Amino acid sequence: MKKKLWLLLLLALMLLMPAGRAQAENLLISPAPGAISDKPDWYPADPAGFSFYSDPDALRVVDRADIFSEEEEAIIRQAIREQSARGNADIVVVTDASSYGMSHMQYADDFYDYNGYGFGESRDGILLFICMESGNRGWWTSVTGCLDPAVSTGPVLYTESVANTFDDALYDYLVAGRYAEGVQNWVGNVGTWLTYGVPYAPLWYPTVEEQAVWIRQQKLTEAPRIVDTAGLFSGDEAEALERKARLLLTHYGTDVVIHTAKSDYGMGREAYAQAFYQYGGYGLGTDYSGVLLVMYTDGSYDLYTEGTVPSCLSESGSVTRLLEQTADAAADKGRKDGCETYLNLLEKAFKKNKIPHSTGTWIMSAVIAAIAGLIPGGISRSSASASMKTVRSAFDSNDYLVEGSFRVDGGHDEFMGVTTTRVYNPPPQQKTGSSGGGGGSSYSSGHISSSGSSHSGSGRKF
Amino acid sequence: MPANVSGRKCPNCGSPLRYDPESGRLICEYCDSSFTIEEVDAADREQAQQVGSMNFTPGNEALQNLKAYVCESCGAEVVADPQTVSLVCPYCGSNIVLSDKIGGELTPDGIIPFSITPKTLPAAVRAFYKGKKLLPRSFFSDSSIGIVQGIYVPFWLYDSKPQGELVFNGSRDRTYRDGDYTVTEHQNYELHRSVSMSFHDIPTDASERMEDALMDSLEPFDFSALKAFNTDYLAGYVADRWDKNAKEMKARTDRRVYNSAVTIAMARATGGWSDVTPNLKSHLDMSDSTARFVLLPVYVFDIKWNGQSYSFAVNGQTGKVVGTLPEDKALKRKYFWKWWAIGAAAVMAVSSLMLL
Repeated sequence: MKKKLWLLLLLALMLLMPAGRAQAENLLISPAPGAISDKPDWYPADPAGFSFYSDPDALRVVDRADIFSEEEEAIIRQAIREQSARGNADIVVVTDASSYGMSHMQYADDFYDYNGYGFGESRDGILLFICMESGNRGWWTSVTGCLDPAVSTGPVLYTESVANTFDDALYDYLVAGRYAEGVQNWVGNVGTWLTYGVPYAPLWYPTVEEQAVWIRQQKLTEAPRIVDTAGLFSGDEAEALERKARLLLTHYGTDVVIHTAKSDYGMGREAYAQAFYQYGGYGLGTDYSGVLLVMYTDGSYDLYTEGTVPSCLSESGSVTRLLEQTADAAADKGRKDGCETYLNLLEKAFKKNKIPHSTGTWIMSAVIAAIAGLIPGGISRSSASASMKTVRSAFDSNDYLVEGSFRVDGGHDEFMGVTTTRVYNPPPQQKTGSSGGGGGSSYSSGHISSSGSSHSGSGRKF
Repeated sequence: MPANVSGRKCPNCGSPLRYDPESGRLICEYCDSSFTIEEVDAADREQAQQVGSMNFTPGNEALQNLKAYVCESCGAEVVADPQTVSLVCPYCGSNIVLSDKIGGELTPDGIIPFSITPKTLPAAVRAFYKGKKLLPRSFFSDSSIGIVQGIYVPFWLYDSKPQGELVFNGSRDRTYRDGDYTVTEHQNYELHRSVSMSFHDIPTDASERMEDALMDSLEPFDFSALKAFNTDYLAGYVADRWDKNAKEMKARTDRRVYNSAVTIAMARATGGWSDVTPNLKSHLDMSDSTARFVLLPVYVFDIKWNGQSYSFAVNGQTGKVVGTLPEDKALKRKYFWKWWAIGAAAVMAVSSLMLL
């Protein structure tokens, strides 16, 4: 009993001294008694007999690799506190100078499982493990419970697309040695993701709770159809386009919307356009018919259609032509003219269900046809010319070979040398789910950790 | 010394006999009789016993390289160059075989008699014109076939048994993975093959005045139709003796044999190898070679058009026509543009279908 009291006293003293705080924190999360020697000190001595528990007081930033200053750690801890409360899921960051022979994935999963993390019965939460081991630097993000797409169908899931968005952003920071900034940014993104279901969200995007009770409503037809969020048009230009779009909308009974944006907020072009169209209340009639053109500031375009629209706008070839001619006109004459070209082509699609090809395409086809015509012309002329000359010296005497007389009486093959070609061609499985720097993410869904619980996650080297 | 000249006469009326390729008999066009060669031989032997030899006697020998012969039928003096062994008397149409030029090594080992007649040649030539898209239109109407001459052309028939080592370059590829790399090893080898083979009856023309390529183009002949030489086959045709000997012409034949040996060995003895090409280190011994002298039937004639003469030859056994026809440059341009237009239109049509 006395011995226990002394130990508690010693621990209290260490917590009061700043230099000893990190060590004390490690002690707090480590079931040290009986820990096995080749595993980290937080690893249970008897994993088979381990029972999950919830520890709301456990540290959410465990900097075992000591890559954060105390101030940085405090800021991250505060951010985690705010974001996990907002998103209703646990957020943990752990760093270590060694992975103790485990994979990054196993370290992350086990650290989460054996240290009492997770909200609720399903232990909902996300953990970021940064490994600083020399020659093995990398990170792994492990998700559990309602965030794990392998066991949940909830609105916030750590899909491969989400994983890539997180990892792409994190890579740039970690590879530059800006660990605290990277982790802060990551925590912010996790908060947005937990709140909106996407890693980044525009202002108009509804929260997960709002999405759950959202009822689709049509916007008034008087509302603007040119939504210039990126500020690409002058007032006059926007007005002129608005008039033209409204003419089409009125005449053909199909909504016509043009939206400019700086990015798709990591949602993917199609998902962003769909979200903008649906949450924005666009579409006419009971089936919300309409066509949305999203014009990005990087010069790319995306088309979204819904309801009753000309079938040509569902054909990839026609859509490609529509967007290419729009992009060409925008590049040549400016974005406003590009949009006018788009609206003119759209009108043809409404009238004739057809997106015509550009004049350049027709000219190119004619040039190709003219060049291709040289081949049959040349071949037929040579062939006709050859038929005029039947006098030729005999080249061989194959016709006079005595049948069965050909014999191979022996032979050998002499090796003369070798030329080697090496082509970089990584195996397909390494390509899966990869994006960005660091050789791409490894994504894993629904794997079982040492404790027997399900996790999903992703990671990368840096 | 008189040169021995033989002409065959009708045992019935004494008129000149002509060899008929269709029936393979000797025909008398005066009394409408026909005889086999053996029948005429028998009649000649009988007549010789009665009235003695009817040989021609040589006339004026003063002209250099030419010999004059007196036609037994009409007494006219005819002149023949040293290569000619058979001709037709230009005065009475008698067939004259210059027997003094046939003997020893000049005696043919065989002959393929004419199987087609001159009267079939216009049809054969017309058939030859078919499909010749660039032939000037006026060639059909304004051209004229010159004198058709049936010639027994001297050929050497070679039997060759080449053997030796042929060498080829070949390669094999081995592909394997090395980490994130696909590695392809291109292994180069020299393939040495000891081969032997036999070629039989490779024809090579032995006449200086016949163009080699023209005679090559007449192939193939069916040498199973070769007959033992008999001067009676020469009746009605010109025949030449060889003036390029077998040794001289062997080099030309050897080139053909070498090319064949390489082609055949490459196809049959280098299976499993890629990118096989002949190597100059090959050595083929072609000394085991024999030749025999034969006469092969050829019609030659010129077609005159637009002030120019175009030489043609017809295989007297198969009727195959060879020769170089004139090209109409305007037609050639028109033909090119016609097919260019068709090709371009087809591509444009496909493009339009895809674009519309």
